[in-house]
Amino acid sequence: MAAGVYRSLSQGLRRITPFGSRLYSDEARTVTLIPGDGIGPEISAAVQEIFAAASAPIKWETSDVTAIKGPGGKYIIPQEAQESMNKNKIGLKGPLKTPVGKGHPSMNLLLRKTFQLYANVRPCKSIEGFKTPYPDVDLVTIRENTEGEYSGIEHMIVDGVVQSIKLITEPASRRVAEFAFDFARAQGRDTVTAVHKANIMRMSDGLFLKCCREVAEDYKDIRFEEMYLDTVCLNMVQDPTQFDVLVMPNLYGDILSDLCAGLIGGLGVTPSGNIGADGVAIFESVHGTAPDIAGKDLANPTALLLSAVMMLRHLGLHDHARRIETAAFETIKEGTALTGDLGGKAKCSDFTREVSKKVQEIE
Amino acid sequence: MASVLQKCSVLCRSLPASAAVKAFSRSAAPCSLHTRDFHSGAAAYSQQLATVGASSKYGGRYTVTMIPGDGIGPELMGHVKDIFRYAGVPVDFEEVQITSQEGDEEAIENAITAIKRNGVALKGGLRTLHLDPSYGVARSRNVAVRVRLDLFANVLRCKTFPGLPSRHGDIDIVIIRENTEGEYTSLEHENVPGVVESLKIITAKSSERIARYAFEYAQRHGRKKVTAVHKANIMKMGDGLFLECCRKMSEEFPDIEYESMIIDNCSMQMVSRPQQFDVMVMPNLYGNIISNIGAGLVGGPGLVPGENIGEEYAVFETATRNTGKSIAGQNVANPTAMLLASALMLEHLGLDKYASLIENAVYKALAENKIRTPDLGGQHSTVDMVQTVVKEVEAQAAKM
Repeated sequence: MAAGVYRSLSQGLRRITPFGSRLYSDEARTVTLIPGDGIGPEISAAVQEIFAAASAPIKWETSDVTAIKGPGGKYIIPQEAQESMNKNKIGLKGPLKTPVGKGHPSMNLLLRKTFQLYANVRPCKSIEGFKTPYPDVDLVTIRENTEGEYSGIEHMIVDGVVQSIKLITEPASRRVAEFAFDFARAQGRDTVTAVHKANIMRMSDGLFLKCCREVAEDYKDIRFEEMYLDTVCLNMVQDPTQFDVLVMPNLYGDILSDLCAGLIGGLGVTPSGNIGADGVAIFESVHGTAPDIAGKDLANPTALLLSAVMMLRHLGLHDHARRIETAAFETIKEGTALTGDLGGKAKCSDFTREVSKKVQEIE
Repeated sequence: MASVLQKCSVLCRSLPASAAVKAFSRSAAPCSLHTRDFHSGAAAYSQQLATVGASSKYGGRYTVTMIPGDGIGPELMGHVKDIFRYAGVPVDFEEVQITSQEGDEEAIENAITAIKRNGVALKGGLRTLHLDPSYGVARSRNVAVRVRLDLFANVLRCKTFPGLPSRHGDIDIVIIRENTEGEYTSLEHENVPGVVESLKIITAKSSERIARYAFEYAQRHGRKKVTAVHKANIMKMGDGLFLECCRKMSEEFPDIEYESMIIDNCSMQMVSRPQQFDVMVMPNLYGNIISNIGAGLVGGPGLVPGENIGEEYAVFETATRNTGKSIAGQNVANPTAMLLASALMLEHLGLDKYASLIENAVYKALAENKIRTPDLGGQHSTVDMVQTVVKEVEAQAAKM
């Protein structure tokens, strides 16, 4: 029964991510925009400017998700924001600040629970013009985002002995595996690798692996591989070109996705997307709010821009995605309008203007 | 306890200066009798462990247990024996076979008894057939050896090899990984069908022990900084306990800089700026990840040796513990890691001049003779590397 539910869910996903065709005929797609805190508003404005220059068929509906105290006394996302997201299904989010204070949950955790964001997707592609020791990286990490080692279930059994529980369930593993294969198919990628440590955690990672294997049976056009986590790390730092799509449980995903972000240049240039239940998808930049440069027009909008490009691809708007991405990469390659974190002296608005100019020139 | 003290008194002699092993030497300070109470901050605990187990000496020769393991293990062990013979190393190997094929516990028992008897072992990787349903939920045999012998510290040094190309500049990181608990307890159960729980255990005793080992190692080898790697923002109690033990230990070593870093940020830093790290200490799983990243940064699984140190025994193997099943028996494996592991073992036994002899020959083969096995992008075979090392060892041994 669980399998059936998730099969129809993934069919819903297939509708949203058709390969190569547009979602709605010619209408603009309304998307919830959450600017965020710190540099959030300015980089969101930059993305809107670039999208307008590219004539992308996106209408932005700005929303504020700052948590408020709900009726039960627990913190919740404001009703208006929830309704907006549930209506539009697709969102773009800037960095959020978690207010310091007792009882206030992490904002990202709150969003994850509210919209049941079960898969975190990070495409890592080397940026020409931003040199790292690893050129030619082109892989995607897909991380299960609801359970695993982050269940938060811990006990002190006796004084000085702590037990942390890692939870792996069949529905969650199956769900993320199905998404991974759907994603690979929709984006034209040919291999999915399951990353695990089933030699050590025989039952838990064994269950995850079993689910991946079973789902792979339905996707014979995609090659399926399995690799130990340590072997992946070892090979990743020697030759990242051998990897395509990687799917894994929560903790390994957290570590590997950051590792891959490090290969291409860090969190300032890495896009990210979160896939939730009922077709909800929230794309975000994963860097911090950078309060020290907020409001000074110094921020780098690349991460949020690439996340927005990922959003376009998710919507099937591949042509616009390609043009905006190419414009961004060309601007970085040219090197004349780079922000401080990329080694330049330009302002955020300079960079934005340059990308907007280029996107109009690209066919 | 008394027998261990007896063994320590046998070892209590001044060991030769190891200046010959230039960049990779560990200081061979004399072993002194300290109490094994690791709560007394003054005990030079890790120094005591520097020669632990080196007891099986008779007639001037040491006996060491050898576990060839699976995959490339057997052929590499053969080469180790050859090189030892050419170098005239006074070590005899007692070979014990544990293979993944055997289903019986007796083989494991024999191996563990042999290691206990000799105190020191050289080991290949044992393949864990997790796909085989008849394997049950018994834990990996590699883990069984480490836990049964309480080899609580896994130490590996990732240092850029002279003459070998690398994407990063000069790296010199020592990774000290807790080796007995954490995520490797194999305590799992299926509550209801489709829901599995796996327990990660962190204890104050093991955390304190590994933290003390790390700081003393840093002090003994003149290292400046210890970085504790954790995920205490999410696993607040478990990794929180580990972090607290490290922090408290850092107060006993005020001359060593201490910092902590979250594992995901650490992975990112390792691939962008690995030069910032000196000594790193961490629980089991993060150690697995960081070890493999570190080994990959300096050139791969074929190069880096590792050691598993306990309070009574020491087992030497390759750092990333691969079995290399896909290249077994083809004469293409890189023997460097196993040869350097055997050299580390010799240093542990106090046979420093033989250790340097083999280490220097290996580095020379890589840097000057430019032997490159396929894992390093070349066409040389295992035997090419071994023969080059043997030639150098013969030439140098004649001068000894």
